[in-house]
Amino acid sequence: MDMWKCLKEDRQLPTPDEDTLVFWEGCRRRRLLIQQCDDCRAFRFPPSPLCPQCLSSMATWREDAGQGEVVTFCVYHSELAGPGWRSKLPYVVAVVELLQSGVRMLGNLIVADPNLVCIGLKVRLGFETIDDRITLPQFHPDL
Amino acid sequence: MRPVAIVGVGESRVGRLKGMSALRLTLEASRAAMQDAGISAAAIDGVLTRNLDMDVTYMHSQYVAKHLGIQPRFTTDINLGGATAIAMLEQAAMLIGTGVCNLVLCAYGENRRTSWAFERHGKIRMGCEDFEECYGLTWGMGPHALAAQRHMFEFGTTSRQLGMIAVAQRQFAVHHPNAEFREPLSLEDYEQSPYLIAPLRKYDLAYLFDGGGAVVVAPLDWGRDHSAAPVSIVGLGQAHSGEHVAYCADMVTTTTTPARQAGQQVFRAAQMDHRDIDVALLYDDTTYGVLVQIEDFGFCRKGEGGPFVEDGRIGPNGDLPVNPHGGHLSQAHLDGMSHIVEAVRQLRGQAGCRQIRGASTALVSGFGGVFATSTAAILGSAGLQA
Repeated sequence: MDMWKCLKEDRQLPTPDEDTLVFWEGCRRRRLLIQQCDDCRAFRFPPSPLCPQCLSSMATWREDAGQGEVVTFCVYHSELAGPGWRSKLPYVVAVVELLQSGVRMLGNLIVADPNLVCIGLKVRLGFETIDDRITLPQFHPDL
Repeated sequence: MRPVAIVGVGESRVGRLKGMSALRLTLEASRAAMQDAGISAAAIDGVLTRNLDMDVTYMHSQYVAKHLGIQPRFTTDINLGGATAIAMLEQAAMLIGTGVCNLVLCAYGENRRTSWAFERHGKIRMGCEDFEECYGLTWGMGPHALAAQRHMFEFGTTSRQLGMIAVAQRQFAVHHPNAEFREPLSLEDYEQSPYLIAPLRKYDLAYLFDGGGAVVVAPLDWGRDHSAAPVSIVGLGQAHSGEHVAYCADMVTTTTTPARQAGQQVFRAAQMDHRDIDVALLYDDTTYGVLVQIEDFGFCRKGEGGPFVEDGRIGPNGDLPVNPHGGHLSQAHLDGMSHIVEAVRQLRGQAGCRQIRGASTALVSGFGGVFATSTAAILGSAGLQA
């Protein structure tokens, strides 16, 4: 199903920029770093230059231990995202709420049987090394 | 502000139109709208377009104006994704209402199905690669699947109920000569179709095609003097969830969209409520998008969208016919432009076999950046104005 020509490449990968470099460097070292505002203490993700709550530019990167819970998910049974995903079908994309920082992020939930995934499932963080530049945070069921 | 009306609509052919450029589709739709309005290029003093998704465009509206022989007083590109079509109407209404322009052309055309842009320009960045697409989440439909899952969890909405939306829109599309999908679709067909992005099946998803649509907006009194059937713009609304598609984690975990605020605005502006709507043209990337807007525009309470469609209320024999052109799901995905075109045809009584009898008031909506932005317009047949 030829939806978007921009998905012809095998897999879209992040391009670290001024605002996200620290996050991706953290992932490369297998640490999940989440920004916390120095002024109002709010956590935020994805990385951004100012706190959306109070507009402070002062923030500290905090490591999140990566325990979380599935808020919602979907299961790809087709290679709509491009031919590079064919070998991974079916795969699960989940929104995970991290218990420590409270932020929500997307990730793949690495499971043998997608039928066992449900909202509320406890998950833990893992990392998938793509190349020497990019490592992606991923999630596994926390059994 | 000075009341405004749509005085001309046009659309190009839709489908797989290999060899037809986005510019050509835009121009053909524009020409049709200008002919429908009975005006020449010289009469138009405003041109609004949406810059292309699939190609690199710089000052696209000027490019379109030049190719139509228009020398506008005001022109610009607007991009609010699928909310753009109605945002163009609102911009046109403001330009006319403040006396900057008299006749404004709003034009759209894309060849997203067969575009050669990839070969020319390589990978096109949408701005959502870093935290979404790297996980194989496709733009648009993937987030809809995430949101639908949450809706099912909270309210017990079923796949079969979503299927009834696909079936109802197909019942209309079989009568539309310019629809891509005209073969009948049964609920059994739907339930036997594969899950592509579970919980969404093949027929829950709208597929991108090539095509264009355009409308001409004018002062209502100009429309009454010069046009056989001006359609009044009686209310407009636009609301934002404060999110961008690249930050979709939150927008897909709430089962309420900014259509709620856009709906409140548009009904207030039109001095109406949902009971006044004869036909609804609801932006439909997926069946779930229709369901959530039925709730958020107040046609039923939150969580009751499933039973609402199950009661057969949105089909050809329902009390709220939705997307009588087949919508994106069955006509073709033209980013909501075709929804405006169809609303105008319905209100003029020109919709042929799919005409909703007695339709005099239409609600038209747009969704941009998945659920980041909602736009809404209430259109009325001649004479109706807030």
